[in-house]
Amino acid sequence: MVETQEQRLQVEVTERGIDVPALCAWAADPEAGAVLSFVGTVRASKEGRRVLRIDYEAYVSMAARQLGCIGAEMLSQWPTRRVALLHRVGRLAVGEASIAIVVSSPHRDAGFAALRHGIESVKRRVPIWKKEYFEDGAVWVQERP
Amino acid sequence: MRIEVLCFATARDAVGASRLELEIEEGSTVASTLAVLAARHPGLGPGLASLRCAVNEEFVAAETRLRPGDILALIPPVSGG
Repeated sequence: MVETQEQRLQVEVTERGIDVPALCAWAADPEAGAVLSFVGTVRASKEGRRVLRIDYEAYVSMAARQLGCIGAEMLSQWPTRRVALLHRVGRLAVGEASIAIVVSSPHRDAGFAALRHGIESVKRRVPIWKKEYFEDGAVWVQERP
Repeated sequence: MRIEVLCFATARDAVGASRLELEIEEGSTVASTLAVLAARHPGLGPGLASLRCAVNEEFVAAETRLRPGDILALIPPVSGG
C-alpha cells in the first residue's frame, strides 16, 4: 500500500505533554528496521544557575508550517518511512519534554542523518522562543546560530 | 496602506504589544517599515540587527516590498528545540 505523505508525517505545536512512546509506536513500520527519537528536555541548571521553569512561546501557525517543511525534508532527502515533530509551548517544568522528533527508516544510517537534520533545522528555522526563569530573574534565551 | 505587525518575545517586550495595525506608505519595504517601528519604539533598536522578518509566514529579505493586508512578523533569534 502506498501511503500519502499525510499518513507518513505528523507535526504539531501543542500545549499538551508529549507522549514519546506513542509517537514511536506510530512511527513503527514493517519496512523500518530502525525507529529513532530525539527528545529535548528542560535542564535543571544553566551555567551554574538553578532553572525554576521555562516558558515557550510560538508564532504557532508559522511554527507548525516550518515543522511541516522540515518533516517533508526528512521524508524526501533520506529513505525514511515516517516522521513526527512535536513541539510543546507554554510553561514547562524541569525534566519535561519541549520537543520530540521521531523517525523510522529501513536502516539506521538514514534515520540518524534525518533526525540530525530535523533537530538542527528546528533550532535554526522554527519561530519558537524560550524564556528561562531563575531565582533572581528571567531571560529570553539568545541562541548562537 | 495598512498592514498587521506581529511581535514576539523580546520584540513584544520592546513594542509593548503582540499585535498592532500599522499605516505605511505604498511601496514600503520590510526595512523601511522596521525603521518606522524602531523610531516609534526605541527599545527595538539594540536587537534590530539580529531581527528576522516574516511576511505571511515566510521568511523574507529586508528589501521585500509589502502589500496591503500583509502580516509582518518580527522574529527575534529563535530558541526552540
